[in-house]
Parts: sequence; C-alpha cells; structure tokens
Amino acid sequence: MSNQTRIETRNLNLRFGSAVVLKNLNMSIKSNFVTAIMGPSGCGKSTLIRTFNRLNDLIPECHIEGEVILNGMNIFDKKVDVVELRKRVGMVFQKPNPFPKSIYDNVAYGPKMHGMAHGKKLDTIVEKSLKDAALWAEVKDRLRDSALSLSGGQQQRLCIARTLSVQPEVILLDEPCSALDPAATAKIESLMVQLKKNYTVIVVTHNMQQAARVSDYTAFLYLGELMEYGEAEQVFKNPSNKLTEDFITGRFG
Amino acid sequence: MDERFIMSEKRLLDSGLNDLADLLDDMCKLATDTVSASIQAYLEGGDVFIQVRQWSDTLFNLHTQVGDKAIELIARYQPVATDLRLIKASIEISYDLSRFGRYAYDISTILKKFNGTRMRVEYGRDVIAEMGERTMSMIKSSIKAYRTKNIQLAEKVGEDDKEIDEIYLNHLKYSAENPPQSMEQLIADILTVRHLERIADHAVDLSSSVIYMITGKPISGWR
Repeated sequence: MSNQTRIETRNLNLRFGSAVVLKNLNMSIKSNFVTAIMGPSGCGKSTLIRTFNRLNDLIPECHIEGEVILNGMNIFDKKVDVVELRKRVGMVFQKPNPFPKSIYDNVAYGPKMHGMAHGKKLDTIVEKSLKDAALWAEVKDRLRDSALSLSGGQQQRLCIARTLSVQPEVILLDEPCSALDPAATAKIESLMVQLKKNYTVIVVTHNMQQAARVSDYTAFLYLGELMEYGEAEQVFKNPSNKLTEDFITGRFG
Repeated sequence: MDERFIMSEKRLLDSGLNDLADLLDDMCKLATDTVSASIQAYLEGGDVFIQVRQWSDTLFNLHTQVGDKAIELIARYQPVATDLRLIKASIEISYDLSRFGRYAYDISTILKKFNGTRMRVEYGRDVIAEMGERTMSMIKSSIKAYRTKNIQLAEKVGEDDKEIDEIYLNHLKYSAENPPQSMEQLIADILTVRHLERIADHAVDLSSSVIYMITGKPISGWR
C-alpha cells in the first residue's frame, strides 16, 4: 500500500445559490485505500464526491471556493480538461445505468471515445475491465447481449467495468449498493476492496455497516462540515466526536 | 443539533442492552454473596458448600446467557462504538463475575475436603481474613465502578491488587518457612490464599473492562 495523498481538499466551500452545502472542508484522501464518506441525508456527501470530478459544474448556481488537488493539480484550474479529469476520476452511481447497448459496447465505449484502443487491443481492455470488475466469468459467452438483460448487481459491476476501462486513478461510488440485494451487495463490497490495489476508491454510503466493512478510512460529514475523519477501525470502535458516535450508533440520522 | 436528526424513539438495540445490564446486575449481587459466603465459612466455619456450588453454577449459567445475548445483539444490530464496547465489556465482566463464583466454590471445596465443613481454620487465619476483606472490597469497588462508570474507582482496584499480591507472596514465603504441623492445614491455607489472589486479579480485569467500555482504550500491564 502506498501512503501518498491522491486527493486533497483545501478550504473547500460549495453552495448552490444561497444554500451552503460544503463548509471549509480540508481532507486528504490516500491512494490505494477505500475511503468511505458517511453522514445523514443532505449532509453534502454526494456533493463532495461529485466535486472530485467536477460533476457539480453541470448544476447552475453552483459556486465553489477553495481547491481540490488531484496528484498535485488543482482540478479547478482553467487549464484542466474536464473530460480528461472525468477519465481520471471515474464515477459509479446509485442505480446501475448501463447504456442500452451490448455488454461489450458498454465497456468499450470509453476507450473508443478517448481514442485509446480499437480491434484486439480494445478486446483486451474489455476483457481486463470485466475481469477486474469480477463480471467476466458471468458474461464472457454473451458479450453481445444487451446490458439491460443483466441483473441489477451485474449491471452495477458492468458500470464499474465501464469506469475501469479508461484506466482511472480514482473511482467514486455514490451509494453503489442501495438498489441491490444482499448477495449483489456483498459482491460489490468485495470488489471495492479488490480494486484498492490498483485504484483509489471513494464510496459514499448511507449504510454505516457497509462503511465499517469496506473502508480503511472513514469520514463523517454533518451539515456540510467534516466532523470526523480517520482510520475506520478507530472511527467505529472509538469515535472522537460525539456527533459521529450518535450517528453511527443510530441515535440520530 | 438540527432537529431533523434527533431520534425521539428508543433504539431497538437499547432493549437488548438493558437485558444485558439486568443479567449483569443479577450476577454482581450473586457473585458478591458467593465470595462473601465462602470466605466467611472459611474463617468462621459453616456448611456453605452446597449453597456456594449452586450459586457458582448459576453464575456460570448467567455468564452463558450474557454471551448468547451479546451474540444475538451483534448479529441483529451490528453495534459499533460505545454500544460495541459495552457488549464486549459485558462478556468479559460476566466472565470475571463467573470466575468469582468458581473460586468461591473452590474455597468451599477446600474447606469441605480438608477441614470438614464446620471447623474453623486457625493456621494463616489472620492473613486470609485480611486478604478476604481486601478482596471483597475490590469486588465491590469494581462492581461499583461498572455501575457508576467511574474510571478513578476502576483504576484504584488496580492499585489495590498490588497490595494483595504483596500479602500473598509474603504469606507463601512465611508458610514455607513456618509450616503448620498439619499438612492438610498448609494445603488448605495455600490454596485459599491463591484463590483469593486470583479473585483479586479478576476484580482488576473487571475494572479494566470498565475502563475499556468508557474510554475505548485497552488496558495492558495492570497485573
């Protein structure tokens, strides 16, 4: 495991119009670990990870102050190519959202768009991405079938494969299991832990037990403020902040 | 705190934690009575063997119930933080309480085997009286520390144990140098001080669980 910082926020403030969503956030996220961000609804956790690949840019009235540093580069710098940024910082959403295309085409879409590969090389990328997403064994004989024919859990792993296909550095997962059954959830959780070997994984979850199971570092956000951030074992065994304690023990939320 | 996030209802876990606390309350009272009865009988004579054995068995059964309840709560509610620490501490405290009962039973067994159940043991009586008094005090303090979540009191039990250890070791040396004529009296004496010393150790363990429960910090090197 490396001990390098992959993403760092410096005095990050974000508001939508007059509604303040993130308040002066300072946190550094380490490479090759799973970092979970938890907190009650509306605390800003999804907004935070959507900041990491500038998805919030698409929302009118979004005002951001401060910096988000990705490998030494401020992602808000005018020179930053947002398309390239989103290739480096991939995202998987709450509900599986495969394209209405074949399984193969879903995974091949990104590399083709970015001009990364075609032909045999593209086949290799598709296979590797599906293997890394722990889906290859289930779909290798039906790559031309519609992605929509897959189960919900398979679709979500396909979305992860699609993210991996462009070789990102960071994978953002926004409540990736909330629409899945326990068996599919277990596969995604296992996958998250596998993926940290090669990627930096950041997961937003409402499921406190999921954060406890998968994360190496855990952040607790409350009303846009970072209340606690530390090693998961410490946060779940002996949190330093009373609000964290109350949240994870179900006394509020 | 924002009012949206305040939960007014009791958590499902809370009723399970109350069940655990009730079991431990029963154990605390019974463990105290059991050790007290066995020491009293050793010093003053008395037939408590059957009673102490029953109480010791009950303590062990209650310890099993605490373990079962704890596993159920972990399986059903996946507790964390203070809840998780409380459950872990409850398992360990119940073990210490059951050991109080077991050592009390061992003392009453010594009394029965070596000395008859109604005789008063003379050799080493003063030492056992002092160790018995101090040990009972440590038991009560550790239980009070648990009930009142008092870290200072729990820490004091650790300090008290050093004195018990000193009395114990001094007495072993004395007994080796000045053995009684009766070998049975010597064995009864040595085993009893040994059991009292172990009871005191479990009072320390109980107290360390209290500190862990409150602070989350593991205690090591206490004894």
